Amino acid sequence: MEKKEDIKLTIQKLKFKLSEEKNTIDTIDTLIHQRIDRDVDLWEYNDSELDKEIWNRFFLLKEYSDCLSKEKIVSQRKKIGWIIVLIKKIFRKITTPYSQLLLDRQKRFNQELTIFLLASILRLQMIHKRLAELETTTYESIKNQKEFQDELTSLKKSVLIQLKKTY
Amino acid sequence: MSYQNKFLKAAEKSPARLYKLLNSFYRKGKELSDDFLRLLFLKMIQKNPSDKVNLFLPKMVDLISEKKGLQPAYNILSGIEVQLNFRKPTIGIYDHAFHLIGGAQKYGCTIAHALQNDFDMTLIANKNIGVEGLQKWYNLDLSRCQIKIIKIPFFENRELNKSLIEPGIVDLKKDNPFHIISIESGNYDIFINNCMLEMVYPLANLSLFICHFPEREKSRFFYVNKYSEIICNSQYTAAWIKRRWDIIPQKIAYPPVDMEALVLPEKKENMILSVSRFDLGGNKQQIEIIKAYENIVKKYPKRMKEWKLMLVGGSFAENPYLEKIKKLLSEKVELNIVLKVNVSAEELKLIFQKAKIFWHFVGLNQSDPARFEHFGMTVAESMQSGCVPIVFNGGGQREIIENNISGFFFSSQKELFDKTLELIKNPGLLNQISQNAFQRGKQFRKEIFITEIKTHFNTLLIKNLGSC
Repeated sequence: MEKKEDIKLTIQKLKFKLSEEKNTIDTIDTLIHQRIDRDVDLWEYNDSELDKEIWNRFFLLKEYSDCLSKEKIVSQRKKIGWIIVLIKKIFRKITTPYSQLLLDRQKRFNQELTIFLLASILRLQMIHKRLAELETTTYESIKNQKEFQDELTSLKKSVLIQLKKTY
Repeated sequence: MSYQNKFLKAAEKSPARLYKLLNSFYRKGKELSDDFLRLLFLKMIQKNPSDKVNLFLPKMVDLISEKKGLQPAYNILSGIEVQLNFRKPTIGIYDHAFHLIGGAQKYGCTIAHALQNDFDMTLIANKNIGVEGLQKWYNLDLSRCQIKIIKIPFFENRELNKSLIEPGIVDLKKDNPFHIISIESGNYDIFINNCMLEMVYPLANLSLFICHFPEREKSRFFYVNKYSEIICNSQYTAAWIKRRWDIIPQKIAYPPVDMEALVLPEKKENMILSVSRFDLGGNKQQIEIIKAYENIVKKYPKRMKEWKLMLVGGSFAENPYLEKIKKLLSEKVELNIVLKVNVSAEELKLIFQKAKIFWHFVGLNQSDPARFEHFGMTVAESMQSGCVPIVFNGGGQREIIENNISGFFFSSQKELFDKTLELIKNPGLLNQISQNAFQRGKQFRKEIFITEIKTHFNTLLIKNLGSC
């Protein structure tokens, strides 16, 4: 009996200590030394989330597609900053004809690809819309067909009754 | 000798040896299950003098905390307390909608009512609610239950719909706002998630997920597979859990229905009854019921002359769907239709006892499985008062009614008319089916649910924590 009480007290103390420590932790991963949430996977997005993601990514692609667009030349240095900016500008002036030669084809490719992507997305949306319309029409026609069948069966029954009565 | 036997022998003979073994085992990067660790600790406590146990138990708890985490160490100690009968096991039942009246919440409260004598029961809610309120709503004794309110900052900080906790709006790409509940779940021996919220990760020794319908698809915060057991309310729901989540529930427990009349009411009126909440989206199809009734009256005026339709249901203030119904009825005053909103439980019981026929359209012309009855408590309620149910052939209702014996199914308006007229024309048949429905309705009584839950939880506890 005494042993039981003794152990009970020890367990209570240990639990209290653990509980105090637990209260300082606010992530499950730390509490159980396991990672429970996975990274977000595109496969897990639903229709509307995917739509949003498609357009977000598309506008980013479009923004980055012009690889020849010139970034503003700046320097973080306070005193000699203007010299660095000047040197950078001269360097850019000298190299632009060569880089343009190389990147012009890439720029055109990027632009074509963005247009192609946009066309594909729009086409996909049209297909989706048509599919939804088709689903509604099919559902309606199945409903009508069922009602028609019911009517036909009842008509058949009444004709049979009439025939029996007549003959 | 297997490593398990080695551990067990050490636990019985020497706590120092057990500690040494555990230390070297973990150093090699190996793992032991929580259940086996609990067994080792238990053996050590039972077979060794208390001074030795008191010396090594804290060391071992520190070791487990360091290697497996604080929660597993806490759970092992909690499990030992229960197994050695140091205290009653604790249960935490969580429902994010405990502050609203609903069938699922009644289910959870009935479980609490059934188990409150054998367990330390806590109801975990997110919004302010008291035991008295729940007792009144569901006519249950919950006097030995405690309530713990845990506010979820994500929902508290919202401008709109502050009273609603809508899991559907959680951004799955950000943090899980329900982790606060997951952490709370670790404070109980048994944690019951009563609101089918798949985003709560269970940390208790034993965890049960009660599912009334798998509303959402699997997502980044899907933890249903982490629960010890899944209980659902019907075979219909079970089939959708399998289909949507690829999980087979361990138990089906039909919801408790307590509309039962002591004896089959003899004096009934020529009344067709419909009892359903006036849903904003019109999911319960009261307008379709009115139209069907209008059609049947127009088609068979003589037969329907002495009959009336009564629509009963709950609604909150400013319900556009209810307004639409009222407007429709004001245009069709020649039809004998009575509308009753928010009636008391006693009045509802009386109405059920008066009605001869019960119509229920939920699921008709629907393709979304969530829009079917997942069980159909109101159908079972009608049967307990001897109404003859004529209900849409789909969803959980198929499990309640035996077609042509204790009620009827319909799939089209024509079938509905045929069955209704058959009953009206033939009082003998109506009486017979009414008696059968009354008998069948008894199978869904609250008492049966309570007995089933008590037995199940005791078995579960013996099986998992070796205590009762």
